[in-house]
Amino acid sequence: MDGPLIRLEQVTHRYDPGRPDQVALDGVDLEVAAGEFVAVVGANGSGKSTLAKHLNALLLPTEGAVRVAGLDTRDPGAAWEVRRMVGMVFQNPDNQIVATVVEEDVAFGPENLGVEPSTIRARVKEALAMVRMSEFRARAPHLLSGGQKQRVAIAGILAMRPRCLVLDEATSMLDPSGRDEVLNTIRRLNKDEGLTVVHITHFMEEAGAADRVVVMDRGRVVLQGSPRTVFTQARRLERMGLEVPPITALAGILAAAGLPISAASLSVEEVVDALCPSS
Amino acid sequence: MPILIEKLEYAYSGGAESTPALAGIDLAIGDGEFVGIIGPTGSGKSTLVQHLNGLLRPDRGRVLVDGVDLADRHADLRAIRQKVGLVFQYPEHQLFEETVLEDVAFGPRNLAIPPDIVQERVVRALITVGLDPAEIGPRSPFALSGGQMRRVALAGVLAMEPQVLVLDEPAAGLDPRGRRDILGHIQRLRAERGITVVLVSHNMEEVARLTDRLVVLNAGRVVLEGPTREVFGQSDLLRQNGLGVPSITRLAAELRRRGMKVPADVVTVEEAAGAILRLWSSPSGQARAHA
Repeated sequence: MDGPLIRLEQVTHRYDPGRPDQVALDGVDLEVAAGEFVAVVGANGSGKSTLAKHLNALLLPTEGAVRVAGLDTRDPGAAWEVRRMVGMVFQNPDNQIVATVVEEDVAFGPENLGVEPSTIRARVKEALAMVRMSEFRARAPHLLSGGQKQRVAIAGILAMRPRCLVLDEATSMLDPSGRDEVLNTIRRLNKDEGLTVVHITHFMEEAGAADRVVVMDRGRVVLQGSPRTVFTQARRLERMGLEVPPITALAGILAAAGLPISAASLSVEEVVDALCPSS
Repeated sequence: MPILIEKLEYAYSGGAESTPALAGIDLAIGDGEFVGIIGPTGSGKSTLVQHLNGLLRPDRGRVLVDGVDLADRHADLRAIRQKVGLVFQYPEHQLFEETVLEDVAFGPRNLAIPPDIVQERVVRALITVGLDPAEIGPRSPFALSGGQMRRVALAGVLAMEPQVLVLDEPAAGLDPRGRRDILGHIQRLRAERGITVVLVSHNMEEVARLTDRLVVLNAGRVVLEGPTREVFGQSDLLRQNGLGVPSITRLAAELRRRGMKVPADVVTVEEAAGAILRLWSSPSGQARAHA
């Protein structure tokens, strides 16, 4: 299929029809290409979770349209196919585990799709390998760490052969190593398997790993581009309740003082190379 | 009101696994200290802090708060909970009253304090967390934003006027501005009233900026403890325990390795910028970097 995998056209969403002044999404236009890794950032209440829930028909636009691989999410006949193509991982790792054994949990999705048992077994095995959780297949999910639980949740989606993975603040309740596990997993799935990833997050360091960063403020997309382009707008981000990662903030101060360094530096290595060029 | 923990052991009963949550903790917290507790998930952080106000009782060992042994069945836990305020993870899940004023008043009202004093405390607590009592007070806590709900929950504990404030991941799930706001209120409260603060956090940048001393837990034990800067100087040991160091600390170490004499104990953006700019403006610093 040509064209973007997901296309939002002038999407407006109101949770309460009685309060037309309270708009969660306000005329959002956005396209996500197949194979892209997009990070969506924004303050609490900026509309990023509402946006995420539109990508797999959990919410439908009050106005405008969302198309996934050409299917209109408002079409009741398309909802199941849309949800199979776009899988969602949520914030709380404890709320998305349904089975008492890891591999049964991963099998839950394809079973509901009516996939044949022998195919399910093959898919579960493959999905657990992709998130590097094969050795935990017979474990009880509640004994896993938060990062491991989220990887199991991702495997459950992979077993349904999706086109796109949407993470709705899926790292926000994890510790730093759990966040790294999940982030490394989605980067690998994006690079190696060509899976499209939409990662909704508060953590700007995580957004730095994406191809494109989309910034939301009060229900609108107000800024988007490569992490480098977006992070040079430190002042603007701060006004929206966000902040650039510490390394980028430091690079900004040093660049402003005239040091030979890019204000949009993203990594420790980049700053070190700028300040101490190797001979 | 010092806190002394001696050989504290605790295991959750009911599970098939017999691994103890706390496996012999020794720790002293002095008056007015700002102590950070860090450790990977499941290291025992939340279990430890729930012992500080008697919510959990030790299986073995002692927890002495102001000289009172909380393991003693006759200890007056009500009095202790008045002195040691505990703010849980996602405290907004425990809001339940119809208005913000009622919710914040719930704790002090249970202390049998005269109503007019309760009212004063409620107003003061709301102002401390940056909420306008006249505007927010009459509203339902459930109609507020996530960040506001979090601040109402914190105000509920502050209205008890505790001498020790224990916070378990107070900024989790908030956006950067929300995090800065809530931690700023806590910092100011400590500066103004000299209370003791114990902060459990996963955010290394935050504990680096705020705390005087760090306690690192892993598998129910204290594996590292000391002044915050010294602890972050031990990046290898932290990594072995499933933790990182602030990216600024990592940068400083890397710059030193490449010959730039940045102090090893910088932890914040401002400190690093100051140190690098000083070195850069000194002739030797620039010469070295360009060599």
